[in-house]
Amino acid sequence: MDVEEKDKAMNLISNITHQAINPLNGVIGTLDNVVKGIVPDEKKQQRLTSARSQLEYTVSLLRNLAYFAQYSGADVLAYRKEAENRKCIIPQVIIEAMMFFQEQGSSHDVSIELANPADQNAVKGNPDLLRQVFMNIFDNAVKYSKPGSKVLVKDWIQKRSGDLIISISGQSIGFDPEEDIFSLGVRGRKAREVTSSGSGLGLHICRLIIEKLFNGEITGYTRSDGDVVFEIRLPGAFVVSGGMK
Amino acid sequence: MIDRKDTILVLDDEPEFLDWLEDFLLAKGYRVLFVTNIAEALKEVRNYRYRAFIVDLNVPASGEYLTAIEKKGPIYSQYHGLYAAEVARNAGYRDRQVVVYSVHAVPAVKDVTDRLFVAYLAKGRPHIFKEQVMDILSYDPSDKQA
Repeated sequence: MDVEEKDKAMNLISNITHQAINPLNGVIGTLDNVVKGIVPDEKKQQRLTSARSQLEYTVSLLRNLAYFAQYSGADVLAYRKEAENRKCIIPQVIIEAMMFFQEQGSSHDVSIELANPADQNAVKGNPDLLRQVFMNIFDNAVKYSKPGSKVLVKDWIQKRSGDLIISISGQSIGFDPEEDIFSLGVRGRKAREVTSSGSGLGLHICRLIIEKLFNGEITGYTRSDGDVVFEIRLPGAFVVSGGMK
Repeated sequence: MIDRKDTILVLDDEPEFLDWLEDFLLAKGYRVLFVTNIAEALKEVRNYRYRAFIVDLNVPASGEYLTAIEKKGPIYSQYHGLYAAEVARNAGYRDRQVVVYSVHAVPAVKDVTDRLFVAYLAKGRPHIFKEQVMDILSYDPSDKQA
Protein backbone atom coordinates (compact mmCIF):
# COMPACT_ATOMS: atom_id res chain seq x y z
CA MET A 1 0.00 0.00 0.00
CA ASP A 2 1.55 3.35 -1.01
CA VAL A 3 1.40 6.52 1.08
CA GLU A 4 -1.61 7.94 -0.75
CA GLU A 5 -3.58 4.72 -0.40
CA LYS A 6 -2.63 4.51 3.25
CA ASP A 7 -3.83 8.09 3.83
CA LYS A 8 -7.12 7.26 2.09
CA ALA A 9 -7.57 4.14 4.18
CA MET A 10 -6.83 6.03 7.41
CA ASN A 11 -9.22 8.79 6.39
CA LEU A 12 -11.94 6.24 5.66
CA ILE A 13 -11.44 4.52 9.01
CA SER A 14 -11.50 7.87 10.78
CA ASN A 15 -14.76 8.88 9.01
CA ILE A 16 -16.42 5.55 9.78
CA THR A 17 -15.32 5.70 13.40
CA HIS A 18 -16.72 9.20 13.72
CA GLN A 19 -19.97 8.17 12.09
CA ALA A 20 -20.38 5.16 14.37
CA ILE A 21 -19.40 6.83 17.64
CA ASN A 22 -21.82 9.75 17.29
CA PRO A 23 -25.06 7.72 17.33
CA LEU A 24 -23.69 5.26 19.89
CA ASN A 25 -22.75 8.19 22.08
CA GLY A 26 -26.29 9.47 21.67
CA VAL A 27 -27.74 6.14 22.81
CA ILE A 28 -25.44 5.90 25.83
CA GLY A 29 -26.20 9.48 26.82
CA THR A 30 -29.96 8.90 26.53
CA LEU A 31 -29.84 5.66 28.53
CA ASP A 32 -27.71 7.36 31.18
CA ASN A 33 -30.31 10.13 31.46
CA VAL A 34 -33.17 7.61 31.71
CA VAL A 35 -31.36 5.60 34.40
CA LYS A 36 -30.70 8.77 36.39
CA GLY A 37 -34.30 9.98 36.04
CA ILE A 38 -33.35 13.08 34.09
CA VAL A 39 -35.75 12.57 31.17
CA PRO A 40 -39.30 13.77 31.90
CA ASP A 41 -41.94 11.03 31.57
CA GLU A 42 -43.61 12.73 28.62
CA LYS A 43 -40.34 12.65 26.67
CA LYS A 44 -39.19 9.13 27.50
CA GLN A 45 -41.00 7.38 24.66
CA GLN A 46 -39.63 9.74 22.03
CA ARG A 47 -36.10 9.60 23.43
CA LEU A 48 -36.05 5.79 23.52
CA THR A 49 -37.50 5.57 20.01
CA SER A 50 -34.81 7.93 18.84
CA ALA A 51 -32.14 5.86 20.61
CA ARG A 52 -33.38 2.71 18.90
CA SER A 53 -33.22 4.51 15.55
CA GLN A 54 -29.62 5.55 16.30
CA LEU A 55 -28.66 1.97 17.05
CA GLU A 56 -30.28 0.75 13.83
CA TYR A 57 -28.37 3.44 11.97
CA THR A 58 -25.11 2.20 13.44
CA VAL A 59 -25.91 -1.40 12.54
CA SER A 60 -26.57 -0.30 8.98
CA LEU A 61 -23.18 1.38 8.86
CA LEU A 62 -21.48 -1.75 10.15
CA ARG A 63 -23.43 -3.86 7.67
CA ASN A 64 -21.89 -1.73 4.90
CA LEU A 65 -18.47 -2.64 6.26
CA ALA A 66 -19.40 -6.32 6.35
CA TYR A 67 -20.64 -6.23 2.74
CA PHE A 68 -17.49 -4.41 1.71
CA ALA A 69 -15.34 -7.07 3.32
CA GLN A 70 -17.43 -9.88 1.85
CA TYR A 71 -17.89 -8.75 -1.72
CA SER A 72 -15.27 -6.16 -2.71
CA GLY A 73 -12.58 -8.61 -3.72
CA ALA A 74 -14.38 -11.92 -3.78
CA ASP A 75 -15.40 -14.11 -6.66
CA VAL A 76 -19.13 -13.51 -6.80
CA LEU A 77 -20.14 -16.47 -8.95
CA ALA A 78 -21.25 -18.39 -5.86
CA TYR A 79 -23.38 -15.44 -4.81
CA ARG A 80 -25.01 -15.18 -8.23
CA LYS A 81 -25.77 -18.89 -8.27
CA GLU A 82 -27.43 -18.67 -4.84
CA ALA A 83 -29.29 -15.52 -5.88
CA GLU A 84 -30.93 -17.37 -8.79
CA ASN A 85 -33.28 -18.93 -6.25
CA ARG A 86 -34.25 -15.68 -4.55
CA LYS A 87 -36.26 -12.69 -5.61
CA CYS A 88 -36.49 -9.05 -4.65
CA ILE A 89 -40.04 -7.71 -4.83
CA ILE A 90 -39.20 -4.08 -5.40
CA PRO A 91 -42.02 -2.24 -3.55
CA GLN A 92 -41.51 -4.48 -0.53
CA VAL A 93 -37.75 -3.85 -0.44
CA ILE A 94 -38.17 -0.11 -0.95
CA ILE A 95 -40.89 0.24 1.71
CA GLU A 96 -38.78 -1.68 4.24
CA ALA A 97 -35.88 0.69 3.56
CA MET A 98 -38.20 3.73 3.77
CA MET A 99 -39.54 2.65 7.16
CA PHE A 100 -36.02 2.64 8.53
CA PHE A 101 -35.78 6.38 7.88
CA GLN A 102 -39.09 7.49 9.39
CA GLU A 103 -37.49 8.90 12.54
CA GLN A 104 -34.54 10.51 10.80
CA GLY A 105 -36.72 11.87 7.99
CA SER A 106 -39.08 13.38 10.51
CA SER A 107 -36.29 15.15 12.38
CA HIS A 108 -34.91 16.56 9.09
CA ASP A 109 -38.43 17.34 7.77
CA VAL A 110 -37.84 15.19 4.68
CA SER A 111 -40.34 12.58 3.46
CA ILE A 112 -39.79 9.63 1.15
CA GLU A 113 -42.60 8.47 -1.16
CA LEU A 114 -42.88 5.47 -3.44
CA ALA A 115 -44.94 6.55 -6.44
CA ASN A 116 -46.22 3.11 -7.47
CA PRO A 117 -46.37 0.74 -4.49
CA ALA A 118 -48.93 -1.54 -6.16
CA ASP A 119 -46.63 -2.48 -9.05
CA GLN A 120 -45.11 -5.82 -8.06
CA ASN A 121 -41.96 -5.49 -10.13
CA ALA A 122 -39.18 -7.85 -9.17
CA VAL A 123 -35.68 -9.09 -9.98
CA LYS A 124 -33.73 -12.14 -8.89
CA GLY A 125 -31.25 -11.62 -6.07
CA ASN A 126 -30.84 -11.25 -2.34
CA PRO A 127 -33.36 -8.68 -1.04
CA ASP A 128 -31.20 -7.88 2.00
CA LEU A 129 -28.50 -6.56 -0.30
CA LEU A 130 -30.88 -4.52 -2.41
CA ARG A 131 -32.49 -3.11 0.73
CA GLN A 132 -29.05 -1.94 1.85
CA VAL A 133 -28.65 -0.08 -1.45
CA PHE A 134 -31.89 1.83 -0.88
CA MET A 135 -31.01 2.47 2.75
CA ASN A 136 -27.70 4.01 1.73
CA ILE A 137 -29.35 6.22 -0.89
CA PHE A 138 -32.17 7.25 1.47
CA ASP A 139 -29.59 8.01 4.17
CA ASN A 140 -27.93 10.47 1.80
CA ALA A 141 -31.27 11.84 0.65
CA VAL A 142 -32.47 12.54 4.18
CA LYS A 143 -29.13 14.02 5.20
CA TYR A 144 -28.76 16.35 2.23
CA SER A 145 -32.33 17.17 1.10
CA LYS A 146 -33.89 20.55 1.67
CA PRO A 147 -36.13 20.60 4.75
CA GLY A 148 -39.78 20.27 3.76
CA SER A 149 -38.94 18.45 0.54
CA LYS A 150 -39.96 15.02 -0.72
CA VAL A 151 -37.79 12.22 -2.08
CA LEU A 152 -39.72 10.48 -4.87
CA VAL A 153 -39.03 6.85 -5.77
CA LYS A 154 -40.39 5.37 -9.00
CA ASP A 155 -39.76 2.04 -10.66
CA TRP A 156 -40.79 0.55 -13.99
CA ILE A 157 -39.84 -2.18 -16.40
CA GLN A 158 -38.41 -0.87 -19.64
CA LYS A 159 -40.19 -2.72 -22.48
CA ARG A 160 -37.30 -2.57 -24.92
CA SER A 161 -34.65 -4.07 -22.62
CA GLY A 162 -36.67 -5.86 -19.97
CA ASP A 163 -34.58 -4.00 -17.39
CA LEU A 164 -36.02 -2.67 -14.18
CA ILE A 165 -35.35 1.06 -13.78
CA ILE A 166 -35.57 2.65 -10.34
CA SER A 167 -35.35 6.41 -10.05
CA ILE A 168 -34.84 8.23 -6.74
CA SER A 169 -35.05 12.01 -7.02
CA GLY A 170 -35.32 15.01 -4.75
CA GLN A 171 -34.28 18.55 -3.94
CA SER A 172 -30.92 17.75 -2.50
CA ILE A 173 -27.36 19.05 -2.33
CA GLY A 174 -25.89 18.30 -5.73
CA PHE A 175 -22.46 17.17 -6.80
CA ASP A 176 -20.11 18.17 -9.58
CA PRO A 177 -20.06 15.92 -12.68
CA GLU A 178 -16.32 15.29 -12.28
CA GLU A 179 -16.77 13.92 -8.76
CA ASP A 180 -16.90 10.12 -8.73
CA ILE A 181 -19.20 9.91 -5.74
CA PHE A 182 -19.41 6.12 -6.01
CA SER A 183 -15.68 5.68 -5.38
CA LEU A 184 -14.53 4.44 -2.02
CA GLY A 185 -13.92 7.24 0.48
CA VAL A 186 -15.19 10.02 -1.80
CA ARG A 187 -17.55 12.64 -0.44
CA GLY A 188 -18.83 15.45 -2.66
CA ARG A 189 -17.46 18.91 -1.99
CA LYS A 190 -20.92 20.41 -1.41
CA ALA A 191 -21.84 17.56 0.92
CA ARG A 192 -18.74 18.20 3.02
CA GLU A 193 -19.80 21.82 3.33
CA VAL A 194 -23.16 20.81 4.77
CA THR A 195 -22.18 18.14 7.26
CA SER A 196 -19.08 16.47 8.59
CA SER A 197 -21.03 13.22 8.84
CA GLY A 198 -20.39 10.75 6.05
CA SER A 199 -17.95 7.96 5.46
CA GLY A 200 -17.66 7.79 1.69
CA LEU A 201 -18.61 4.14 2.00
CA GLY A 202 -22.38 4.03 1.45
CA LEU A 203 -22.55 4.90 -2.24
CA HIS A 204 -19.52 2.73 -2.94
CA ILE A 205 -21.39 -0.21 -1.44
CA CYS A 206 -24.37 0.66 -3.65
CA ARG A 207 -22.20 0.38 -6.74
CA LEU A 208 -20.55 -2.78 -5.49
CA ILE A 209 -23.89 -4.50 -4.91
CA ILE A 210 -25.63 -3.25 -8.05
CA GLU A 211 -22.79 -3.83 -10.50
CA LYS A 212 -21.06 -6.84 -9.07
CA LEU A 213 -23.92 -8.82 -7.57
CA PHE A 214 -26.95 -7.72 -9.59
CA ASN A 215 -25.06 -7.16 -12.84
CA GLY A 216 -26.74 -3.76 -13.11
CA GLU A 217 -25.79 -0.10 -13.23
CA ILE A 218 -26.16 2.84 -10.88
CA THR A 219 -25.72 6.46 -11.85
CA GLY A 220 -26.23 9.80 -10.16
CA TYR A 221 -26.61 13.26 -11.65
CA THR A 222 -28.03 16.70 -11.03
CA ARG A 223 -30.97 17.51 -13.29
CA SER A 224 -31.36 20.90 -15.00
CA ASP A 225 -34.11 21.80 -12.50
CA GLY A 226 -31.61 21.26 -9.67
CA ASP A 227 -33.05 17.95 -8.44
CA VAL A 228 -30.56 15.21 -7.69
CA VAL A 229 -31.39 11.87 -9.29
CA PHE A 230 -30.05 8.39 -8.62
CA GLU A 231 -30.98 5.82 -11.24
CA ILE A 232 -30.57 2.07 -10.88
CA ARG A 233 -30.90 -0.33 -13.81
CA LEU A 234 -31.29 -4.03 -13.07
CA PRO A 235 -31.50 -6.67 -15.81
CA GLY A 236 -33.97 -9.54 -15.94
CA ALA A 237 -37.01 -7.85 -14.41
CA PHE A 238 -40.35 -9.58 -14.08
CA VAL A 239 -43.73 -9.05 -12.41
CA VAL A 240 -44.69 -11.38 -9.60
CA SER A 241 -48.06 -13.09 -9.79
CA GLY A 242 -50.89 -11.13 -8.23
CA GLY A 243 -49.25 -7.89 -9.28
CA MET A 244 -51.03 -5.10 -11.10
CA LYS A 245 -49.25 -5.60 -14.44
CA MET B 1 -22.87 42.22 23.48
CA ILE B 2 -26.14 41.02 25.01
CA ASP B 3 -25.91 38.50 27.84
CA ARG B 4 -27.88 35.26 27.66
CA LYS B 5 -26.77 33.71 30.91
CA ASP B 6 -29.57 31.21 31.04
CA THR B 7 -28.69 29.58 27.72
CA ILE B 8 -25.96 27.25 26.49
CA LEU B 9 -25.04 27.58 22.82
CA VAL B 10 -24.06 24.27 21.18
CA LEU B 11 -22.40 24.06 17.76
CA ASP B 12 -22.83 20.58 16.29
CA ASP B 13 -23.96 19.56 12.81
CA GLU B 14 -25.75 16.46 14.13
CA PRO B 15 -27.95 17.76 16.96
CA GLU B 16 -30.21 14.71 16.56
CA PHE B 17 -27.51 12.77 18.40
CA LEU B 18 -27.42 15.27 21.28
CA ASP B 19 -30.91 14.91 22.77
CA TRP B 20 -29.17 13.57 25.86
CA LEU B 21 -27.09 16.73 26.30
CA GLU B 22 -30.14 18.92 25.83
CA ASP B 23 -32.14 16.90 28.39
CA PHE B 24 -29.24 17.01 30.83
CA LEU B 25 -28.70 20.77 30.55
CA LEU B 26 -32.46 21.44 30.76
CA ALA B 27 -32.55 19.37 33.96
CA LYS B 28 -29.77 21.56 35.34
CA GLY B 29 -31.82 24.68 34.65
CA TYR B 30 -30.28 25.88 31.40
CA ARG B 31 -31.87 26.49 28.03
CA VAL B 32 -30.10 25.09 25.00
CA LEU B 33 -29.70 26.60 21.54
CA PHE B 34 -28.25 24.41 18.78
CA VAL B 35 -26.52 25.81 15.71
CA THR B 36 -25.26 23.51 12.98
CA ASN B 37 -22.57 25.42 11.11
CA ILE B 38 -19.79 27.94 11.60
CA ALA B 39 -21.67 30.86 10.06
CA GLU B 40 -24.65 30.50 12.40
CA ALA B 41 -22.37 30.04 15.40
CA LEU B 42 -20.29 33.14 14.72
CA LYS B 43 -23.41 35.25 14.25
CA GLU B 44 -24.54 34.17 17.72
CA VAL B 45 -21.23 34.58 19.58
CA ARG B 46 -20.59 38.00 18.04
CA ASN B 47 -23.98 39.30 19.19
CA TYR B 48 -24.68 37.43 22.41
CA ARG B 49 -22.70 36.14 25.32
CA TYR B 50 -24.19 32.77 26.26
CA ARG B 51 -23.50 31.11 29.58
CA ALA B 52 -21.27 28.72 27.68
CA PHE B 53 -20.39 27.90 24.09
CA ILE B 54 -19.94 24.15 23.50
CA VAL B 55 -18.32 23.33 20.18
CA ASP B 56 -17.98 20.13 18.19
CA LEU B 57 -14.61 20.38 16.46
CA ASN B 58 -15.77 18.40 13.45
CA VAL B 59 -18.28 20.78 11.89
CA PRO B 60 -18.72 21.92 8.29
CA ALA B 61 -17.70 25.31 6.95
CA SER B 62 -18.08 26.91 3.55
CA GLY B 63 -17.40 30.08 1.60
CA GLU B 64 -15.59 32.91 3.36
CA TYR B 65 -15.41 30.95 6.61
CA LEU B 66 -13.72 27.99 4.97
CA THR B 67 -11.19 30.34 3.37
CA ALA B 68 -10.48 32.00 6.72
CA ILE B 69 -10.14 28.62 8.42
CA GLU B 70 -7.76 27.24 5.83
CA LYS B 71 -5.53 30.28 6.29
CA LYS B 72 -5.13 29.29 9.94
CA GLY B 73 -3.31 26.08 9.02
CA PRO B 74 -3.84 22.31 8.88
CA ILE B 75 -5.16 21.77 12.41
CA TYR B 76 -7.86 24.39 11.95
CA SER B 77 -8.60 22.98 8.48
CA GLN B 78 -9.15 19.55 9.97
CA TYR B 79 -11.02 20.75 13.06
CA HIS B 80 -13.14 23.71 11.96
CA GLY B 81 -14.63 24.15 15.42
CA LEU B 82 -11.32 25.56 16.65
CA TYR B 83 -11.97 28.64 14.54
CA ALA B 84 -15.37 29.18 16.17
CA ALA B 85 -13.79 28.79 19.61
CA GLU B 86 -11.10 31.32 18.76
CA VAL B 87 -13.62 33.85 17.43
CA ALA B 88 -15.67 33.44 20.60
CA ARG B 89 -12.60 34.07 22.77
CA ASN B 90 -11.75 37.17 20.72
CA ALA B 91 -15.37 38.33 21.04
CA GLY B 92 -15.08 38.39 24.82
CA TYR B 93 -15.97 34.88 25.93
CA ARG B 94 -13.95 33.91 29.00
CA ASP B 95 -11.89 30.74 29.18
CA ARG B 96 -14.43 28.69 31.14
CA GLN B 97 -17.20 29.75 28.80
CA VAL B 98 -15.83 27.95 25.76
CA VAL B 99 -15.71 24.15 25.62
CA VAL B 100 -14.63 22.17 22.56
CA TYR B 101 -14.96 18.44 22.01
CA SER B 102 -14.06 15.73 19.55
CA VAL B 103 -14.62 11.99 19.28
CA HIS B 104 -11.27 11.34 20.90
CA ALA B 105 -8.50 13.51 22.31
CA VAL B 106 -5.97 14.71 19.74
CA PRO B 107 -2.63 16.04 21.07
CA ALA B 108 -2.25 18.62 18.27
CA VAL B 109 -5.70 20.00 19.11
CA LYS B 110 -4.76 20.17 22.79
CA ASP B 111 -1.84 22.45 21.89
CA VAL B 112 -4.28 24.89 20.27
CA THR B 113 -6.90 24.69 23.02
CA ASP B 114 -4.18 25.31 25.63
CA ARG B 115 -3.10 28.39 23.71
CA LEU B 116 -6.70 29.61 23.49
CA PHE B 117 -7.38 28.72 27.14
CA VAL B 118 -10.52 26.77 26.31
CA ALA B 119 -11.60 23.44 27.77
CA TYR B 120 -11.12 20.37 25.57
CA LEU B 121 -13.21 17.24 26.14
CA ALA B 122 -13.51 13.88 24.41
CA LYS B 123 -17.12 12.80 24.03
CA GLY B 124 -16.76 9.02 24.10
CA ARG B 125 -18.41 8.63 27.49
CA PRO B 126 -21.44 10.85 28.01
CA HIS B 127 -21.59 10.51 31.80
CA ILE B 128 -17.99 11.73 32.10
CA PHE B 129 -18.69 14.44 29.54
CA LYS B 130 -21.67 15.60 31.60
CA GLU B 131 -19.59 15.68 34.80
CA GLN B 132 -16.92 17.70 33.05
CA VAL B 133 -19.46 20.13 31.62
CA MET B 134 -21.03 20.61 35.06
CA ASP B 135 -17.59 21.18 36.58
CA ILE B 136 -16.97 23.89 34.00
CA LEU B 137 -20.42 25.42 34.53
CA SER B 138 -19.98 25.39 38.33
CA TYR B 139 -18.06 28.64 38.04
CA ASP B 140 -19.48 31.59 36.13
CA PRO B 141 -16.69 33.87 34.92
CA SER B 142 -19.04 36.26 33.07
CA ASP B 143 -18.74 39.15 35.49
CA LYS B 144 -15.17 38.55 36.66
CA GLN B 145 -12.35 40.81 35.60
CA ALA B 146 -9.69 39.43 33.24
